Amino acid sequence: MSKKDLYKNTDGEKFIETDKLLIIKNLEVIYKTDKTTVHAVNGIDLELGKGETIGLVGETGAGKTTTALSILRLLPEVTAHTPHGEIYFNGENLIQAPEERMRDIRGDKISMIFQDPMTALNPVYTVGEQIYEALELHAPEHKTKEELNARVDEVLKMVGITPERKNEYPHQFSGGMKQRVVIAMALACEPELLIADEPTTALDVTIQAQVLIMMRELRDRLGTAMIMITHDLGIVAQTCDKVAVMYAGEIIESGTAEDIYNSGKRHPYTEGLFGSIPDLTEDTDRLKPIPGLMPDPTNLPKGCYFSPRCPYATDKCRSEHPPVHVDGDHKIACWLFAEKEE
Amino acid sequence: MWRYVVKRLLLLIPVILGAILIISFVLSLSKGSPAEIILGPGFQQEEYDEYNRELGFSDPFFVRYFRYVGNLVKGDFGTSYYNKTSVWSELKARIPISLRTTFMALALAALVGVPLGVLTAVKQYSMFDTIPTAMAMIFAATPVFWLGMLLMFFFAVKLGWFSVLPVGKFKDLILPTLSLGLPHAARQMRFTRSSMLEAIREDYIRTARAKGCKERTVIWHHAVKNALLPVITVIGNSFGAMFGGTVIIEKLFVVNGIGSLMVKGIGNRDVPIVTGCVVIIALVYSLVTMVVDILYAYIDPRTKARFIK
Amino acid sequence: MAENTANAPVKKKKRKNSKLADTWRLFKKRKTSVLGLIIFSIILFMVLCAPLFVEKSKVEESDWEYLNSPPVAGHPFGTDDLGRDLFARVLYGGRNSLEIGLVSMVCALFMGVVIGSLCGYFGGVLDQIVMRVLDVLKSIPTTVLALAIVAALGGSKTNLILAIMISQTPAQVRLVRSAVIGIAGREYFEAARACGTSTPRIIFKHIVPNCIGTVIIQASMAMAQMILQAASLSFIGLGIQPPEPEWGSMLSGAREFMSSAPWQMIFPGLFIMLSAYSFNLIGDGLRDALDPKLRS
Repeated sequence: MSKKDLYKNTDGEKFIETDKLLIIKNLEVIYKTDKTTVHAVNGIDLELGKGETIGLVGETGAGKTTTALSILRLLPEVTAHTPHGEIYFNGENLIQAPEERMRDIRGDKISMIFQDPMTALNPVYTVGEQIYEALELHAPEHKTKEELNARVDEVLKMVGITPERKNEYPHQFSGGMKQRVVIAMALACEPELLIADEPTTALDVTIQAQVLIMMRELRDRLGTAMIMITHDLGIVAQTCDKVAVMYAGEIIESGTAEDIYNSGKRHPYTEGLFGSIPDLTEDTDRLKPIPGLMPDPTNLPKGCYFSPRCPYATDKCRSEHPPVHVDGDHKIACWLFAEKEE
Repeated sequence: MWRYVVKRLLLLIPVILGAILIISFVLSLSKGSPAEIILGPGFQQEEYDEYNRELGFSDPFFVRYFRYVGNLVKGDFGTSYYNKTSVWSELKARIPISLRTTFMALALAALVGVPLGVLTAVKQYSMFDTIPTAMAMIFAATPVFWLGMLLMFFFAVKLGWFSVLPVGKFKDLILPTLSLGLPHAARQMRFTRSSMLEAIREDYIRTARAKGCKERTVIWHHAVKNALLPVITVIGNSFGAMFGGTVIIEKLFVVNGIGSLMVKGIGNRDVPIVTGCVVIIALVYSLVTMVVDILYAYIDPRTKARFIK
Repeated sequence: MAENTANAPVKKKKRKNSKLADTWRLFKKRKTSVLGLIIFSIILFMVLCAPLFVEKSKVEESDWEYLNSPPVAGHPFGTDDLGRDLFARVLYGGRNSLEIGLVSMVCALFMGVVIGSLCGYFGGVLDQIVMRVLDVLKSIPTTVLALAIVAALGGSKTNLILAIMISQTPAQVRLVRSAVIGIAGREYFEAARACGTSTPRIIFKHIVPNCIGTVIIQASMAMAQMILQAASLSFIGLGIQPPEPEWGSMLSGAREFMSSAPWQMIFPGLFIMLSAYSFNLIGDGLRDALDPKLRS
């Protein structure tokens, strides 16, 4: 099966009028192997304005990375399928865009920072060469080599690396420095959207803060919109305007950071996530972890996917999928709030 | 860099000494003394004793070993039992012949195997993958001498393109090269393919795609260079196997190289000749391995930084 | 939750066979591996049950009416220069060829597992010594080493097995050693050690089950190598001595009659190739089924 067939689905227009940077509508992604079908993303909706930052929060396996990869259309060719869904970037449906168009967008309009900087850089090329390549791919034709090389120096300086180090190989850099290189590479073409997939998870705690602060500064300076994928609510609080909480391939709660952190209403799962982080202002003896594990994505439960672990679950939760409760920008998919309305 | 080369050269010494020790020990197990072999049946006891004394055969094993090594340092490989010539003079003429066949076969294996390996990995699951892979499986399982016989039968006996009894012209090297090289081409193809498949799944490949690289650039620029690093070592190891394989192929094609000399030496129970052949084979193979390691260290930036200061 | 606990005992029962079943499922996914298994089964059947097809006496019996005869009704593979039936010689010769391959494979693998796991697990001086010896042995190509050993000991089936075993052992030792070191470096192993698990228990509970896959895959691949090696040595005339049949030495005899009786070299070679081929295919399938790295 060719790459084009994989992403072809009949839903949606090729172009729509919108002032939003990114709109994801009812996106579904499955991984098919010989024996099983993994439902990685199950019909999510997401909107992101220009220059906004959204935090995509959830446990490992919630479908965050799959969502990110499907925006860039970098899902593994052999196994991944998108049965339906639309992804509009500046009004253009990426799911239906030809591969050549995607290549122009990748690295230029949308960039991605991957989780593990240790393996994200090619070990046999110097970091300078790798940044240069990103620039060269999207540079207008009149740019000379010298101009591009000057830009390599510039972006390295931007992420706090002395340009002299551009002739060194990735293994000569520490983890934090490598991630800076990856960030420099991602920002080299000043993309409109930066997808950061757990950019600090693989780093030491002290380095994490440095990298995060730097990313925030660069985002503000360049006006880049950002999708920050993380399982760390602390990072979200520091960097994001909006938050979307993912669970078992669904967005179960979304809204402004204010909505999630300070309003009284929260999805029980979000509640649980907050219970899992130590709060220094409160005098509690123990953390309150969420009991149980995420459901098996090859065999999702009936009703609300969170119901087997939910302390408030009722019979209805176990049998019927919950509707979305909307309160301004704040959306919660839970029977708890749907019932209150009735 | 030079320090590394010198270090590797010095490491060769114990390896070669060890190889001589092993081969001397193995051959010392053979029945019969040199005198028996030289004199043939029906000899006089005095004559027998004298020969053994002259050759130092009555000395203990280690004395003989150190004497051999001492002579070797002086460039003396000993004297053939069978025709009383110096072993080195026999070896000298044949080393280039065997090396030529081996290097040609190696070049064939690498030039056919590696590009095919990359191609099949890139076109995984298509017919450009399945057909060469199936062919490689068959060639990898074909004994070199049988392949040699088949090639000889079709191209020399049936079609008459080559002479059945070669005289040592360049054209006569083609069939030995093919039969030695093709099974190894198959092995290198299989190895390159799996190395390439591994490289394609690496994170930096995803990074390259996320940059907006063309698929062609992703494969040929980012994946191939990484995938070929381990292949270099495998090619080096193939050299050893092929050089050893000349023993069989030279007998089949009546090539006058080290391999046929060794087989002849075994037939005549000519220990100095056999030892000399093994020492030369071990030495050449170790040198090639060393060159390959240095090459690897030079190409891979991770090892290069460590060795070349 | 209640449902899960109810299901638990049922699942446990299933798991007993699931490892083997899983291996088989992954193995048969590769059609070529199944083909390999079929080819080998046929060869093994023909060789082991040779008396069903042709009497043993035919191996050395000369049929003077058919010298160097092409395949005919009574002699499906033809005859050699002494009028011996090649069909019988290929089938009964296969017993020698396969036996040599199998026995030397098992021995080399056994040596590899014992030495390799001791070196990998205990490391230290023992490991250093063994590795240096292996470095030395690596400088002599396996064919050459095996050749020298049979040359010294004399050509016989036992010596051939010994020579092949010795020349192939270093590769097996290296393989098992690196598998053991790979496992010994993993966290679950450290965890077991930290829990105070005894050394034999660690070896049998953690190391052996984790490298058994590597060993089984290797066994299959090594078998192919050893069949080829045995044939090569016999071809040179250093293995099984005539008139006893063996595939490699039959080819050696067939070489003389290449232009007049080419069929003589077809069948022994074909059987060597198909045996080695089937083991390589089986090995590939086993790798798919057993290699934890590929199991994602």
